[in-house]
Amino acid sequence: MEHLRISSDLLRGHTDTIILKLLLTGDKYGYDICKRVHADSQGHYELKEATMYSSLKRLEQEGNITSYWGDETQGGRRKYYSITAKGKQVHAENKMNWEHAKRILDALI
Amino acid sequence: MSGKLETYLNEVFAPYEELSQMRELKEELLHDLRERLTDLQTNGHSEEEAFHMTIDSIGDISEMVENITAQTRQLQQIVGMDFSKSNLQNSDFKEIAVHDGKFNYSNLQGSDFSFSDLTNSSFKCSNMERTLFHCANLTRAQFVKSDLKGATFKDCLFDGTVFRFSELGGVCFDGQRFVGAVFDYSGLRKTSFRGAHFLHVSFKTDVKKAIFDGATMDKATYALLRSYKADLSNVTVI
Repeated sequence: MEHLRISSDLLRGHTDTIILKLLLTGDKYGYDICKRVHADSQGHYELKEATMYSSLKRLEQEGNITSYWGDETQGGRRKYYSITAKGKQVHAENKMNWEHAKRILDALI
Repeated sequence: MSGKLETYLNEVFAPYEELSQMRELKEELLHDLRERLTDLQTNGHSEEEAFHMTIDSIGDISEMVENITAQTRQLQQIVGMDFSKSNLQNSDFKEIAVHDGKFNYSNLQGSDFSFSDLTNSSFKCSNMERTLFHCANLTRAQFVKSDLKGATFKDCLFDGTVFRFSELGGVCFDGQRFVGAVFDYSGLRKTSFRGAHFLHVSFKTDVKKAIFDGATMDKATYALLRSYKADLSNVTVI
């Protein structure tokens, strides 16, 4: 169990980038993001709602994403998130930083 | 079961119902959790099981709330600072008497208000990091949307003093006496009230991480703190 917890801490540090990547392929709402993280990681990583919303609100405040309420009539309103040009740039930079860090870690570990 | 989710969220968000940002977040979260609950039940989990799994999927809700309200507070302070005309950093206000003084939208970082009389004065949207308040009279003084990180309060008079939407994380109020004071919607993460005395004090905010060891308080203050889930294991009720 212990090693699983540590790897999830490592993943949590990249929540912003994970969310930005998902939004590159289209606008999404909260639960949709959680589901896709679970599916794309083949069930290995469960993004907690608390972690996700902290990240979404931060990304919005930094101007990396914007949000709007959907017009669903059934089952309550959904709030959708959409990536901005600045967000796309931040995603590209973070991805590059990660590739760089990965190369260093691969050589060191 | 969906009603039970709503009740659960209402309870968690109760201290923040005046913040529109938090009301919206509650609505989003409720929508997500309902969908998750339905999915889990469709996948064969029992109602009870699905409910607990759904609640578990939220994670550390108090950390999220704290992060978001702290961001809101910071933003409001930055907006306020844009109008700032008075950069009063590290100023010496020792022993001044300014009843009804206005220190709004000011940068007061590191300023010293020791032995001052600030009755009825207001501090709105101000940067008050590391300010000093030794033996200050803060009767009915108002600190609204101000950042008081690293501020020092010693032997002050807190009679009807108001702290609203202000950042007081880590500040030490040990042994101080508060009468009719207000701490609503302020950040009290690791704020210390060890051995403090409270009479009719309002704490409509997250107090789970505030420290009340050895404090004494009246029944009303105690009841309010308890409803906001403060740690009151070492508190005397008078």
